[in-house]
Amino acid sequence: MERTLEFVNISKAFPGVQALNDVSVQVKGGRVSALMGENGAGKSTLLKILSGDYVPDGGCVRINGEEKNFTSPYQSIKASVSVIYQERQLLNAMSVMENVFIDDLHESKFGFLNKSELRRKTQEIIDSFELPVKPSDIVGHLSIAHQQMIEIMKAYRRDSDIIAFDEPTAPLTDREIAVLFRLIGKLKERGKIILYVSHRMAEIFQITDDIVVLKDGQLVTTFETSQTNEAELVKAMVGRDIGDTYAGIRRNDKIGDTLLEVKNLVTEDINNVSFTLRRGEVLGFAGLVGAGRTELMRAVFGADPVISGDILLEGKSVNFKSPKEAIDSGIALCPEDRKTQGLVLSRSIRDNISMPVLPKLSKRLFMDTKAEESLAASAISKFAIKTPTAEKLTLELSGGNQQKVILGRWTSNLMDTKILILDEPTKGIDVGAKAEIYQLIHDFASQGIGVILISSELTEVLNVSDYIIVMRSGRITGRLSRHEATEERVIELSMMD
Amino acid sequence: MLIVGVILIVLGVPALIVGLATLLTVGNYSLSVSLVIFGVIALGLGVLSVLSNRRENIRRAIRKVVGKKEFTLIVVLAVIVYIFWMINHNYITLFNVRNIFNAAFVMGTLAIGGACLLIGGKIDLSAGSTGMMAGVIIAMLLGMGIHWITALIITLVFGAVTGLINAFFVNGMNFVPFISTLAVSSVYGGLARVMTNAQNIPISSQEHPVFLALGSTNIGVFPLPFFITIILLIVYGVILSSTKFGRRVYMVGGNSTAARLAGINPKKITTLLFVNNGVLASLAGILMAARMHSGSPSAILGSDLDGYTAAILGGVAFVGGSGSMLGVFIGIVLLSSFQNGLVVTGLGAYYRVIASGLLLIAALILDYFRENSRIRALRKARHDS
Repeated sequence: MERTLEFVNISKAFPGVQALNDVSVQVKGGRVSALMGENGAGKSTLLKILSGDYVPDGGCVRINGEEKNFTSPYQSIKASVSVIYQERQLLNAMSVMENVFIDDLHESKFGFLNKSELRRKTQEIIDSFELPVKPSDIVGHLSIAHQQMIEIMKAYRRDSDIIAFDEPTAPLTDREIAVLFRLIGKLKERGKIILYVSHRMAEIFQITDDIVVLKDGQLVTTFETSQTNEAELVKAMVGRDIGDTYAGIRRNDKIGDTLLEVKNLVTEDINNVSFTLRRGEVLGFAGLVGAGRTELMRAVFGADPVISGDILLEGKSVNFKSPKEAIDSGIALCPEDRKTQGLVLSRSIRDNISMPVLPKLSKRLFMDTKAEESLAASAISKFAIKTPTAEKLTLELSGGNQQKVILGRWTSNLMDTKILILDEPTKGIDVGAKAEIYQLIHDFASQGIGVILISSELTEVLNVSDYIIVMRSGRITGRLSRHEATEERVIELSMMD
Repeated sequence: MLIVGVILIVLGVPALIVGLATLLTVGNYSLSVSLVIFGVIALGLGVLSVLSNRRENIRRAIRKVVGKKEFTLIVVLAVIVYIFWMINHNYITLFNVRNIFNAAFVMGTLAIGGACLLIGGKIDLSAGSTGMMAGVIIAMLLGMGIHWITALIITLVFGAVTGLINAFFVNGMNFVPFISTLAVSSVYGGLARVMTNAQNIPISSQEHPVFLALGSTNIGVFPLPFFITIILLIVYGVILSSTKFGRRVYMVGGNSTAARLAGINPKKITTLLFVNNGVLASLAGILMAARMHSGSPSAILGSDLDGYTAAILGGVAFVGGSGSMLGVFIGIVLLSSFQNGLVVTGLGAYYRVIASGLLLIAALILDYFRENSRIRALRKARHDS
C-alpha cells in the first residue's frame, strides 16, 4: 500500500504572528517532497506540528488516511515519524552509539546495556553512511558536519516511514552531501515519505520530486519538480501584495556624506566584508538567517572581536573593544532578540531607557531621579509607548512597545546617536506597530542618523531601505540600489552557491 | 469592601475597649494585650477599607503598599513575634531583644555582601570561610604585636584579595561561581585550621584593649557591631537605590547580555561585587574576633548560608536583578527572631537550624503564590486589552 501524509487545514498562531493559516498539503510515499518559502513562511512550524512539538490551533495530520493528533514528540516517534531539525538534538557528552540508539538502548533483562550488540549495530549504520567515526567516539568531539550526520543516523536507524529533513545540508561538506543524497535515494526506493526543507535551489532540483511552496503561513502552490524551473519557483515564493504599509512612509530624501566605512572586515564568521553608510541613509542588509549579518554588526559595534580590517567612523579609524566604546562614539545597536539581548525584562521601562546614559544622569554621587523621570517620560510620549507609568516592567509590554523602549533608549536627548543598527526590528510585531517603526526609521534618517536595517523579511528590507546589501555565508554577494532591487534578484543573490 | 470594613470596625471597637479595660483593671496580661492588638488592627483595616471605598487615590496607595514584598514580610514577622510572645512573655524583653540583635550582626554583615552579589546575578559561598580566616589572621597579627589599625587594614586587604581571586575565576576563567567559590571556601576552611592547629588564638586584653573594645563597647543598650551592621544596611541601601553603580548591579543581574550591549561592563560590576563581599566578610570576621577575644578556626561557619537565607527571605531574587536592603534587613530580623524564639520557647539550639530551612521554604511558597497571582493578573490584563 502506498503511504500518504496529509496536513489538513492546519492553523497555528503565536503571539503577534499567524505562523500557519489553513494549510492543506498531501505528500506520497516513494517521493521526496520539498517544502520551500522565505524565512517565516511556516516551514519549520509545519515540521514541528508533524513532530508533535507544537499542537496546531486547528486542523489535523493524517497518516495513511488515519487521523493523528500528536501532543508530544514521543507520540510522533511511535507513529513512525522522524524529524531532523536544524538545531541538532544530540547529547554531546555521550558516545555515537548511545546517541544513535537513544530511544532503544538494547537493555538486557536486568536493565544493563548490551554494549557489544549496540556497538555492532551502530557500526553497520556508520558503514552505510561511509563516515570515519567509531561507535564509541564522544559526539561533542566530532566536527559539526559529522554531528549532523549522527543526527540523521538517529532517524535512519528508527527506520521511520516518514522522515523530514530541515536544512540538513547547511553544515555539511560536498562529500557528506553526496552520501546523504544516496541514502535519501535508497529511502525513497523503499517507499518512505520524505519531506525536505532547503534554501539551496540546486539541491531542490537535484533530489526532490515535488515542491510545496509556502508564504506567510499559507500554501501558495505545489509543483512537480520536473515541470518547473528556478524562475517560476522564486516567483511563487515572493509574489504577494505589498499593501499600503510601505506606500505611506514619509521617506527621508536628504542623504549626506559618508559616516561609516567598513573595509575588508574579517571575523570568525565574516569574510572580507566592505561597505559604507552615509548620513541619513537607510542601508538594508538582506539574506537568509545565518548569512552573517548579525555577526557583522556585532563586530562593528565592538561586541565581537575583529580579526582584521578597518572601521572608519567619520573618516577616523576606530577599533572598539567593547559595546561601551562604540556607544560613546555614537553607534547604537538594537539587537536581534529583544527579550534576551535588548531588554532587562525584570526592570522598568525607565531603567531600560536610562541604561547607557547613567553617568549623565548622576549628580556627584547620586542619580538625578528627576532628570531620569523626564528622560523616560519624553521617550514614552515621543514613541507613544502604551503604558500607564514608566515604572512598568518591560516584561509586561507587548513586542512593539518593547521595541519602542529600545529605540527610546538610543534616541533620547542625552544620546548622540549617529548610527543606529536595527537587527530584525519588526520580528514578532503586529502590522500596525511595524508601520510605526518604518516611519520612525525614516524620521531618524531625516535627523541625519545613518540607519542599518537587518531584516529577513524581503518586502520590508526592499521597501524601507535606500540601498540594499545581500549577504550569504559571511560574504557580501550583491549590492543593489532601491530601484534595482527586486525580490527575485535578492532571493537569487542570497541563495546563490 | 464597605461591608468588610464595617464588620471590622464593629468587631474592633469592643475588642479594643475590653482589652484596654482588662489590661488596666484585672491585669490578665496576654489576653488583654491580644485583644488590644486585634482591636487596633481590626479598627485600622476597617477604617482603611471604608475610606478606600470612597477615594480612588487611597485605594491605589493601599494596593501599592500591600503589593510590596516587604509588606508581606512585616506581617509574617509580626505574626511570628506575636506567637513566640504568647508562648513565652520573656521573648519581648530588652535583654532578649538585645540577644536577638547581638546574634544577628555577623549574619547581617554577610547578608549585605551576599545580597549585593545575588542581585548582581552571582553568588559567593566562600564568605563564611573568608570571615573565619580574617578572624584568625587578625588574631595572629595582633599576637605578633602589630598595631591594631595596621592589622585591621591588612585583614581587610586580605578580604579584598579573596574577592579578586573569586572574580578572576568567574570573569577570567568563566568558572561557575557556585563551584569556584565553594572550592575557595574549602581551601580557606582547611587553611584556618592548619594555621591555628585547630585552636583558638587568644587576643590579649592588656595589649589590645582598643581593638577588643570594637566588639564589646555598647552604645546605649546595643553593642557597636550592631550599629555597624545597621549603618552598612543604610549605606548599601542608598548605594543600590540611588547611585549609578547600584543601578548597574540590578541591570547586570537582570540580564548581563543586554546590559553589556547597552554599554555597561558586567565584568567590572561583578569584580567590584566580589571584592566588596570579601571585604565585608573580613569585617564580620574581625568584629567577631573582637567580640570573642580570639580568632577561632570554627567561628562564623555557616553564617554565610544564614546570610543568604536572610537575603532570600527578604525578597532578593536568587536569579538576580531584584531585591532591596530594606528587604534584607527584614529578612535578617525575621530569621534571627525566629531562631531566637525557638530557643526562648525551650526548644534546643539545634532546632534553629531546622527553623532556617523551614522559614526559607515558607518564604519560597509565599513567593510562588505571589508570582502566580501576578502572572494571572497580567494574563487577564492582556486578555482584556
